[in-house]
Amino acid sequence: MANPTPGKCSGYETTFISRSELSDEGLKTLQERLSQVVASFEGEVVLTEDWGKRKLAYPIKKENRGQYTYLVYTGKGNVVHEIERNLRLHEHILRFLTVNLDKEFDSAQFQKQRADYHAAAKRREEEREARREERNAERRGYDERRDMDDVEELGLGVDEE
Amino acid sequence: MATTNLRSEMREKADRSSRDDRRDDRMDKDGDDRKGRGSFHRKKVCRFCSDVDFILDYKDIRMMQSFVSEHGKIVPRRISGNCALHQRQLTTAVKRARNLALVGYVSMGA
Repeated sequence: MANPTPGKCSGYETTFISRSELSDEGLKTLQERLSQVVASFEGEVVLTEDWGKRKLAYPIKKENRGQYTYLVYTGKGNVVHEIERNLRLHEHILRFLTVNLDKEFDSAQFQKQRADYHAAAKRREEEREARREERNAERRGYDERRDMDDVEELGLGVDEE
Repeated sequence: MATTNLRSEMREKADRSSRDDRRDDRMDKDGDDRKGRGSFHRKKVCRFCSDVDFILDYKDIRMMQSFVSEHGKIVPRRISGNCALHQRQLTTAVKRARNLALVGYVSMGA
């Protein structure tokens, strides 16, 4: 299929879960291999994100934890096919998911978007943190008051005796 | 004694309501008149439409979890208040997240 504008490839994002036993070097070699594949299809790896080890919502291949890697790349033709073939052959890959991004992919724009997104997420996280702090402080206040009440009651009891 | 009083009162009330609805409305101070019933819900707005920062993304677990019940079911539109467009996008997003084990599939427990 002809590309609408020359020089622009379509973009894809692939997330894959690898076994948590897979060493960092193993992951690195895999990533290098994937970037070679991408390069052979006249594309480039736009973004690689490591989400770290996460608990899986349900066990996959008897694994409860997995290492997530998020990859954004461009390419022509059957890049996705080749990438997925590589992932499928790898014995430490539990699962992967590829999603088509734009047909005419603008990597700079995407990176900016992603950065914005992260900033927004961070901001929201901070807000949440602040709210939690506030709530905790409030609760602590209540606790202190209750403690004081307890003390008073105790004192009364002693007096009565 | 008290119970009989109450009962007679209730009977009176019922009689009145059957006779004259308007009067019953005026008499009813408990707030359980039929006119007001069911009107307690607030108008819901789609969170994706109202908040530009709130982006629909299958990779955002925290966002996903707010639209998924504890059993892993997708919360229906009539409860979440999403607009049709975003609900459609949300379902595909949740399904993608399920595939990646970010959100669980519907479980029957145990």
